Formats: sequence, C-alpha cells, structure tokens
Amino acid sequence: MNAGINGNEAVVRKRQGSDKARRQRAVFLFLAVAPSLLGYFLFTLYPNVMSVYYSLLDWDGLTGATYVGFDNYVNMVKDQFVWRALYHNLLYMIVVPALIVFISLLLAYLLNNKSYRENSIYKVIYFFTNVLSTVVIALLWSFIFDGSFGLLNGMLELFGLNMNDFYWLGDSRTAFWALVLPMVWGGVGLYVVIFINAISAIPKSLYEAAVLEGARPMTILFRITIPLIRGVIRVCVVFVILGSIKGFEVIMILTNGGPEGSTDVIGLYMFNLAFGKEYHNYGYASAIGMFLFVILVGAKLIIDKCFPEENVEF
Amino acid sequence: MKNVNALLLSLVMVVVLLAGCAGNKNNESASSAANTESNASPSAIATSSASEANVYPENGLSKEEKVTLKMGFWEAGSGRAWMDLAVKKFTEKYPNVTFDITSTPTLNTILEPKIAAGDDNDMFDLFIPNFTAAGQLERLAKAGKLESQDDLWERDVPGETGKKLRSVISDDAYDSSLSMGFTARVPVAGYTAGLFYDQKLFDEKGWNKNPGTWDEFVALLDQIKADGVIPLTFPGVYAGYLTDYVFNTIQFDLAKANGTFDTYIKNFRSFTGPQLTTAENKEAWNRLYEFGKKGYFPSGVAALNHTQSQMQVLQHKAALVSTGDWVGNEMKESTPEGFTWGFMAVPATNDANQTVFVNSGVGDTAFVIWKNKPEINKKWAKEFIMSLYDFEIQESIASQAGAFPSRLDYGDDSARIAKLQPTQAAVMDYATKHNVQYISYRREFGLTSPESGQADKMLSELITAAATGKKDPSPVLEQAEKLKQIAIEKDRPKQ
Repeated sequence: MNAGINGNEAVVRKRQGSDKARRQRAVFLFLAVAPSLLGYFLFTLYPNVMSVYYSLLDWDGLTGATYVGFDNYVNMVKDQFVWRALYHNLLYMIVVPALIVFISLLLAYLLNNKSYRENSIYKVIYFFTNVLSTVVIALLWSFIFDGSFGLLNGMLELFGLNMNDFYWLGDSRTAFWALVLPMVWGGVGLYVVIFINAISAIPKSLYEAAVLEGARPMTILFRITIPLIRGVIRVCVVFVILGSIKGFEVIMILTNGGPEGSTDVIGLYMFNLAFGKEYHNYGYASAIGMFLFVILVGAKLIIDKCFPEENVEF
Repeated sequence: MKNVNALLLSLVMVVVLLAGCAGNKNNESASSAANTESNASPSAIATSSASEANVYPENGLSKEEKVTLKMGFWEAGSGRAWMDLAVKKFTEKYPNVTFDITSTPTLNTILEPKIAAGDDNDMFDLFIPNFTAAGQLERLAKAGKLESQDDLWERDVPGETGKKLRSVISDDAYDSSLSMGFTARVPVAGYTAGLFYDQKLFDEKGWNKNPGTWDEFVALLDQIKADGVIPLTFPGVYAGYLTDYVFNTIQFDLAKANGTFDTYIKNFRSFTGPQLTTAENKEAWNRLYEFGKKGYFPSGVAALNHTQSQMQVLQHKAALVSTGDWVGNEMKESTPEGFTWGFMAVPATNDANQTVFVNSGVGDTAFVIWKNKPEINKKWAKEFIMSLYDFEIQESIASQAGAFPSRLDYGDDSARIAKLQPTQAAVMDYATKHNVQYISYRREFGLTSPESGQADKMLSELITAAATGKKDPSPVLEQAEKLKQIAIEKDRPKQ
C-alpha cells in the first residue's frame, strides 16, 4: 500500500517536474524570441502598416497631412514615369539575376572541381565585393566608366578602339546596360560562396559513381550538381530577383536615373518623390511603395510557381 | 543552473533592447519637465530665484541657470571652423550655456524625420533649415512651427551700442527674411551662384572675362570651343545646377529688359499665370537648347557629378562651370597653384547697361528657432544668433567658410575685404563692373501634388536632353505647364 502511495507521489512529482520544465522552456523560448520579434514589430511591421495609411494622405512630411483617399493610387496609374521605371525594373529583373546566378554557379563549380592552388585566394577575391559598401562599388565603377580617364576607355584604347572621351553613363543608349556591370559584379561574390558550400555538401561518392560510369563533366554538372543544389539556387534566385526590383542605390549614385530617365527604376522614383530636391510627398511615395510591395509579393508567387520547392536528400 | 543562466541572459537581452527603445522615452520625460520649466537643472532652478540679480547686464538672462542648446548645423562645403569659433567665443562669454551640436553635411536626412516624428523635445532648439525639397521652410513657417525673430532687427550688433541689426542688413536680405510674413531667420551669411572659371586660363587664352552683352557671351563660348576647350560644364547627375544657377536667371533678365519685371516676379513668387511657358522662360530654354546643339557642353555631361564637373574646370578641360561660390572652399584641396577663380553671370540682352541677375540666397547660413521649446532656450538661441554678427565671426565666415558675410558694413574696412576667399572676391569684382541684381527663387507656397512632382521630373530630365541638343524643350514645357497648373490649383492655400 505504502509502495503504491509512494509510486503515485513519484508519478505526480515527475509530472509536476515535467510541467515546470515545459513552462521554463516556454518562458525561455519566449524570452529568446522576444527581442527579435519586438524589433520586427517596431522596425518592420509597424512602418509598413503605417505606409498603408500614409499612402492615403497628401503629406509633405513636415506639416499637417490631408486625407485624399485613393487619389495617390489614381495618380500613380496615370503617371508615365511609374510605368517607364517599371519597364526598366523588368529588364533588370531578367538580366541581372540571370547573369549573377549563371556566373556564380560557374565560378563555384570551377572552384569546387578544379584543384587550383590559388582556390582559397579566389574565394576571398570573389567574396571581397560583398564586403564593400554599395557606395564604394558605385564610385569604383564611376571611375571605370569615366570618359576622360576611365579604365574602360583606356582598355579599349589598348585594343585600338578610340572612344573619344565617351561617357558610358552619360549617354542614354549605353547608361542602362552599363549599370548592369556594377550590379552583377557587386552581387556575384555572396552567391559564389553559397553555391560553393552547397556543392561541397554533395557526397563525393555520387561523382565517383558517375565518373566510373563514364559521365562527362557537363553531364555531371547538369545531372548531378545542379539538380542536387536546386533548392539553394531557388532561394538565391528569389533573393536576386527581389533585390533587383527594390534596389536602386547603385543607380542613384551613378546616374540618379538619368540621362533623360533612361536608368530610372521604381525604387529610385519612389525615393525621389519622398526625399528629392524638387519635390516632397510622402503620401504619393508611399502609394508607390505599396505598389512595389504588391509587385514583390507577385514576383515571389510567380517564382514559387515556376520553381516549385523540391527537397532533395542525400 | 544552466536554465537559470539562460533565462537571466534572455532577460538581460530583452531589458537591453527595451532600454534602447525606451532611451528616447527617458529623455522625453526629462525634457517634458524641461518643457514646462526649461532645460535648467533642478538645482539651478532652485537657486535662480535667490540670485535674480546675478544676471548678464546686456541681456538680463541668468548667469547661473544652466542651459544646453541643441543645434543642427549643416556642415556643407563651407566647413564648420567658423561655427566652432562662434560656439567657443559664446561659451567663454556665457559659461552657463553649453551646446549639443549635430554637425553633418546631410542635416536634411536628420531634420525631416525629426520634424515628421512630431516630438518637440527631441527637436533641435536652433538649426540651419537645410531641406531637400523647395518650399519646406515656408510650410514650416506657415504651420507656426518656427519662433519669430522679428525682435532681433532692433537689437544692437555685438560690441556696437546703438547700431541696430537692421541697419547692417541689405534691403533685399531683409525682404527675403520677411517673405514668410514674419522673420523666421535673420541672414548671417549668403551665397551667390553662376559661372566660375580660372582667370589665369582666360588671360593666357585671351578670352573675354567680362562679356557685357549676349552676343559677346556667345562669341566667348564660340572662341573657347574653337580653342579646343569645352565652354560650359555642369553636374548632369544633379542637372538643376545648370538651370538654378544660370539659365533660370535669364527669364528675369529678359523681363527686366522688357519692363515687365515687377509683374513677372510677382507672378513667379505667387504662382500666378503660366510659370513655364512664359515667353521669357521659353526663350531661356531655347537658348540652352541652342547651346546644346552647338556642342557647348561636354558630350557625357549627364554622367558628371558636381565634383567631376568642377574638376573639369580645375584641369582646364572645360572653361566655365555652373556652381555656387562655395566651390573655392569645396575644391581647395584640388585647386592647382596659380589657379585664380573668376566669376561671370549671363547677360541676356545686347544692351551693355542691362541688369544682370545673379542667383543668391541666405538659406545655408541662417538659423531658425523651434517654437515649441522652453522660453529660456529660445532666448539663448537668439543671443547666440546675435553673437554671429560679431566682426570676428563674420571674418571667419569670409575667410574660413568661403561665404559672403551678411553685414553690409563688412566692406567698410579693406582689411576685412582682403579676408574674402577668391570666389567671393571674384563675385564682388564682377558686381562692381556690371549692373548686378541678386535674386532668390523663393515662392509664397510650395507644391506637393503628384502633378508637380511629374512636371519637375520632366524638367529635370529635359536639362541634359536639351544641353546635348537632343530634345526641343518647347513641347515638354507645354506638357509640364499643364501638370504644374493642376498642382497650383490644388495646392494654392485657400483664402
């Protein structure tokens, strides 16, 4: 009998102990997550929600705001500069991610499969661009593209091509495409490192088996490497595409949307509407920000549709 | 034990984050108290009544009441040496006053969020109204956010009893200061803008340094081009440098020559009637377009920032750069030996005695005072502003900041004139040889409607297109005018 009672007490005590542990775990989890969650609410969610409200105002950011309903959205639809900027975004969205992912994959594949002695140096060099701030990258390329003493014209001259002080960023025919280079150059480094790690995680036995069966390097690349890191590529594509839609820092520093608006993108247009020299309207800029948000969500959904998530285990 | 440690660590993280977020809150409560009293320390408040006699005789303010003035200082091309001197002198004279200075070339990025946040306690007591967009200062003034400085006009300038501030400020600067209906700021220094060049190069090439008519000006540009130098350059990335400082003045030159200046400027300031398609403005743009077709500007001008365009003149690749008189100070590290800054504006007609308008302003070096601040802070802010009219500070503005001191009697002493930097001296020299009238582009109200933004963008993109001879400005001006008129209609303050 006593043994039974003691046994019950032990069970109760054990249950109490496990309840306490569960509570402590919950408290710990809450406290661990709380700082990040609080930061997210304060600095991300709250400003975004407020932007929805601002988009319904005529507000210069300094003095009293006037509620204008959906006027800003109506104006946005009629604004030719919005559509032109979006067209530029669309072109960048196609070209820049494709180049970044392709070049990053190529470099990662080479660094993983070729045993160059300088591999570790190459990795550092490729990643180096990722350490540089956007401003530094932009200024560096402004020197490369400079008409009078730029590196690009200097190199072309070595090949007998005299560019006559041609400013690559000063001509509406070349400025748009010239900007692709710093965007790709600045973006490749991070993805090279990500792809290198993803590729090195693939078991060597798979490659050995393929080689034994006579597979050629291209077959190995397209039949083994790429399918097995497809998930990583997918994430990278999402990041690069979304980044190319909302990013505008390089453009702002190098051309500020010029010449004649040929490099204007939606993020830069929105920024200049809110903080530009001539004009200030947080309300209208917020409306365009909301539109940009819809585009980003739409792009993410399209990517999900085109590249369905597939988990690969090896 | 491990769990306890983990819990404590997490707790510390949360507390630290909350403390960070609540940092302003703490200040707020402290400042809230100060708002009703002052920024005076509690001990000072307690003793101030007991020592009422212990005041500065010149202003009647307490010697014991400690005050900290929060200042927003725009550290532009003119640097901050003159401000450091001013603060040093002031705090030596008034040791109970200290300054908490935020000094940055991008003050606008701090000012605008601060104002938008609507927290008076967090706001500067006094600041240079450096805003990115036009019309922001006027909007703040209209909204009643700024303290009136009307009383300063009748104050004696430092060290000269009986000499009132009003008597040493030009009528134009005085009118400008009162344009918002009250004195939101008093001018401490000013700037001028136009075309700057190297006098030495002009002398060597035998180019005309003082074109007195439009034809002479065009002949000069032709000659420069024929000598293989780019006649005019400007920062195409910020293309407004060309229109704001040079071509926008032509419309006023022409109006003056036509005898319609008074009406023209009134319409301009009040947004009455056409703004972009006036005959004078269209003519100014057409002249810019003609210059573009003649190849007077660098072919890749759209890619140049202001440093690059100014470097073109320093390197003698271009002859004239459209910029402000701060260029001398801004580029002093890169200016080669023997380079001597010269200045010219554009004479728009062929009358040798015409009035030539030169763009000028006082916005860069004038302080406004935030209205919702403790009275004692506002009083000390005014004292500090008055101290800037001390000749030692005005000399520092001339010699170290490379700006025009605002005191008219500054020029009474040739030793003081000698302290002007070369760019200011060049502008002064030009003004003695031509019938110069200074003009600012202030408006009675600002435009915020999206249509105005679109019109401004059209014009901004038109500058480099016209300057490279690619686009006829007339159709764009017509289109932009329609949008501008819609914006004016929407944004005009209701009577």
